[in-house]
Amino acid sequence: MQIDWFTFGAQIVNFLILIGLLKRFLYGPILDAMDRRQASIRDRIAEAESKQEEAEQEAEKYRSLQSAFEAHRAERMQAVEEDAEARRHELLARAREDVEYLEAQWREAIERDRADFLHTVSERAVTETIQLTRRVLDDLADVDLEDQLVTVFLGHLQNPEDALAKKLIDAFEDADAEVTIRSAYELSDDQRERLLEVLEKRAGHSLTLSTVTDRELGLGVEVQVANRTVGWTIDQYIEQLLDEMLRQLEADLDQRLTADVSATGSMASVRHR
Amino acid sequence: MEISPDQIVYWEWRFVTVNATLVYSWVVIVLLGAGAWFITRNLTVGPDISRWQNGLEVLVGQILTQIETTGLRHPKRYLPFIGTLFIFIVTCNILAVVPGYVAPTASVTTPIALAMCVFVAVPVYGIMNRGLKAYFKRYIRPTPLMLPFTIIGEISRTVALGIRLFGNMMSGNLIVAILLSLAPLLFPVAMQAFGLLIGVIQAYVFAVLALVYIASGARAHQNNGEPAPGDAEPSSAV
Repeated sequence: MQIDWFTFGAQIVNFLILIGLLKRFLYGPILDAMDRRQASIRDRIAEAESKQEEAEQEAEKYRSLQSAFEAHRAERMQAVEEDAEARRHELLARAREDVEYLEAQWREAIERDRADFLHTVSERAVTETIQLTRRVLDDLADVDLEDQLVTVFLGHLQNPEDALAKKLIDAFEDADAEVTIRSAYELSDDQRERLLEVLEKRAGHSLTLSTVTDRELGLGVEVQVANRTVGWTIDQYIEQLLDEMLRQLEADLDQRLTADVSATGSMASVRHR
Repeated sequence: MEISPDQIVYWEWRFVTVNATLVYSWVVIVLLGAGAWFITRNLTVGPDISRWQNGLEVLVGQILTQIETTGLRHPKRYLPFIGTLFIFIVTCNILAVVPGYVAPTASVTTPIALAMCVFVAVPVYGIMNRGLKAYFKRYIRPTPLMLPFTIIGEISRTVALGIRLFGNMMSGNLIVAILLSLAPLLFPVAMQAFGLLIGVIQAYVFAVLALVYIASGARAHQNNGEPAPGDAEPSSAV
């Protein structure tokens, strides 16, 4: 075993050179890369941890939000159901009111038609009755009745408070001496004298009397002074009676309609309740 | 049959001799330098790294871990010296399977030279860590009477370090050579495989012992001159 001292020294130098080479090309770059990788991994882990923490916070937040939402939804559902129920009741009530209003209108129309019909029937009945009466009186009329009629007419004229007498006095105020008497039958001389006497008394002067026989006049006597006519006939009574009966019928009709409408309205209000 | 590669001389001028030890050491140095440069010129930091880079990172990481287990505070400070010792010796030994190659470590000159580097590195690191005065105080503790024994111990362990490596490597070569003459087939292959194993183990032992020596020098004063636990040679040393 022999040591070559030159080789010994050269090997030491070689070894030192190798240390330098490896330090430059191996340890330096490798350690640097490892350190940088460690740093980046550490950074990533820290980032991941912070993100995980953040995600957990977010999840917790959403969990609480969801539970709050569930509770709120139940409340809302109940409120909506109550609203819908109330709305349903309201709509039903409105529909019922509409139906009742239409029904009332319908009833009113029916009542009106019925009343109109009754009115028409009554009117016809009254008219027929009056015409029948007039025909009967016309058939009964004769000279005796005429005489009686003249007597009644004169009675009216002789009473200064009577309406006929007043009309006659008014008619004479601006009239001349000519007077025409119309009657269904020809007047007797006695009747003519009695009439002339009474008329002259009302006129206050003498009069020229002429008579006209008119069968169309019916039962009664008319005095024509200038353009005005003062008379007493059974037709006037009959027309007065007709007017009175028709007026009564109208009043009945109005009363009945008012009663029907108020009855229908009260019925509708009862149903609505 | 040459026992030592020192005796294979390629060129000689006066005392300057270029022998197989030097030539193959240069080969190893060029191989390591070029390989390191080639692999580390494209290092990446991301998750996708090349296999070579991954291998080198594992190697460097393991050496750092090994340094840390001895209790030294700044492993990166010792990495170039200890790491280069290990890588150089391992490469020299493993290349012995290449026909025609002679391991430089099979010459006594190379292990002794490396042991001399360790012998110098121990006080250098000790002084770097503790300071000049504090380091040399350990030689006269607990009493100045211990000074010669301490010096003798330092020298002898250094010589032992070198001789151990040399003996193992030379014996491996020698055994293969002897067996080739006795049983030329198969058996030498098995011995070559054993040689590989022994080469790696010896490289590890050399590096770890150097590390222990350096650590004992650096930590001696932390224990008031008491021998550090790692100061003695591990019993596992072959």
